Amino acid sequence: MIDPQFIKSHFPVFRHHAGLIYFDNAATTQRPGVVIDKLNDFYSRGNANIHRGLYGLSVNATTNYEAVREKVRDFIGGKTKESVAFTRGTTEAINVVANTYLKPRIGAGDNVVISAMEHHSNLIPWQQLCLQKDAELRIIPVADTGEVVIDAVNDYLDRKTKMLAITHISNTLGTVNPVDKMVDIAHRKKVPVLVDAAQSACFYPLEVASLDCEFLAFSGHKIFGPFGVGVLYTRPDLIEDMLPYNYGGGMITHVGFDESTFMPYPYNLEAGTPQIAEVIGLAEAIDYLRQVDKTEAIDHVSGLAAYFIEELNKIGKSAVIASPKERTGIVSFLLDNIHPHDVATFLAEDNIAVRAGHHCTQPLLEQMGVRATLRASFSIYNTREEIDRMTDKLTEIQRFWS
Amino acid sequence: MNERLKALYKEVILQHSKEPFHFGKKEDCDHVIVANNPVCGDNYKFYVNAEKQTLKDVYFHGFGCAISKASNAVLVQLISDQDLKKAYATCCAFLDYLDNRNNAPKTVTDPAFEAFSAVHEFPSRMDCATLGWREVKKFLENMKEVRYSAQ
Ligand SMILES: Cc1ncc(COP(=O)(O)O)c(C=O)c1O
Repeated sequence: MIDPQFIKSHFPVFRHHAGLIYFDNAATTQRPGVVIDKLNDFYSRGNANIHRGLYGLSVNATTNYEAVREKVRDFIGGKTKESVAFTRGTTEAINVVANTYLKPRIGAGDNVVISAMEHHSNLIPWQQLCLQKDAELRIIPVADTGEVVIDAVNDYLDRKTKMLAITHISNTLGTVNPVDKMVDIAHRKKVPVLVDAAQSACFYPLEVASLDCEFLAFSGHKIFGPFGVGVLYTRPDLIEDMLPYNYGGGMITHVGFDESTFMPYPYNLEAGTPQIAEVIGLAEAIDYLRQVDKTEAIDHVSGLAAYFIEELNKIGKSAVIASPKERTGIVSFLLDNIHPHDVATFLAEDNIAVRAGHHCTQPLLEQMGVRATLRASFSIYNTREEIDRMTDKLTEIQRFWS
Repeated sequence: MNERLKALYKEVILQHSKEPFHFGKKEDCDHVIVANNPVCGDNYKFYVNAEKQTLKDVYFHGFGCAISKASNAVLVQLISDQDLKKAYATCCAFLDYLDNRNNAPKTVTDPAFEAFSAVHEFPSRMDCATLGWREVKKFLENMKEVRYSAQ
């Protein structure tokens, strides 16, 4: 069983903000002390630039940085550590795939397929590439339940489809997509798949080798790791197709004034001095997560979501947006016809942190017929008592408003 | 309900936001001023007729929180049937009133402003209160026929 109080004691932010109820984990999680200490430790005891120095500190920094690739490989169930590239986050990872892999492979009349529930960062890179190349961006619809219409996926793919880019979990609705089925459908049509695992990487087993997706992306800051570091996984057989993204130091094999040659993936994507401390901090977050049973964690957060929905339904005039069969610990909702920002301001006065707005999924909300929602997103340090505090407060707000 | 919140959501604000003054679409007007906040999704339009240096029948419509809606309602109320220069001065005065960068005691040039005094305590809601005013001010600045002196 998850013991949220015990877990909470690992997170210094809750010591500094007694009574903080943090329900904004989909935006970013909090960090356990071990991750914060690791950053401090690197800067205090291990600080040096990598790949270039011949002295001990630099050699160690390089070894520690490179060792994280293996840790990430293991974490996502990949086959080779060379398939793991470090990026600044999910957004950058998706942009890399759009601009280095897909750009030379897509032309007029081709298409890219995404779903209507994508985060802006898994929409705009494809949209802009399609605009440049006179290609079509196709959107698989989302049903009122908040689920991708799985039977429709096949119809949206054809011989001209150059990529299916799909989120594992909707950051707005909490829907868990059957990505394994989607990958199968795409592969039957020889379409490569990018999985946006920003919301799933924390607790959901990714198992990229058996999932067999071509690309997968996630961010460190949503899995208890530092800001500014993310991961792009590329299936080993495709890594030679990945071209440099930024040019500069650290990614070259030879440089002349007229031409240069570059290191292979993943190094060709890590130009300049990378986020060394953050990469090393990410390893610590992965180690921390290893002590957490994934099945229990998923049960905990989706159990909190179910409990919250149950309690919310007792408050008249509230509405939960979407009702997917499989939901993670994310709930979008509305209270009466009070604007989400007003509700969030009231909750903030009571030390309850939720998000209000469009959650970087404007087209999705438009389709669901709302302009903005409140979103509560839970993690393993959250409790039912915290949810009770929030629903009490919501009742009070509604009374004040009516 | 704590006092800070009561101060922010004063009765007048709730009232304005529930039944805003001149809330409606008037597409057949001379000018449409758009006020969008991409961060939060607030999205309003102001419908303006300018007749002989006077703003006539200003209406607004759109979507946003109680603070932004109330603030736009007050804006529309204050600038309707006002001379362009006066309307501009009103916008400047409101924005100055809410500007918390200078700590000088604020003189309320219009009693309607006072409803928003507590916004100072909620920096995250400052944009909500000022969005419409900033856009209308910009619009007035761009109207060529108006010459403004720094008042
Ligand atoms: C589903 C999803 N994809 C992508 C992103 C973008 O992640 P980042 O901002 O860390 O690049 C997010 C973050 O909100 C997300 O929830």
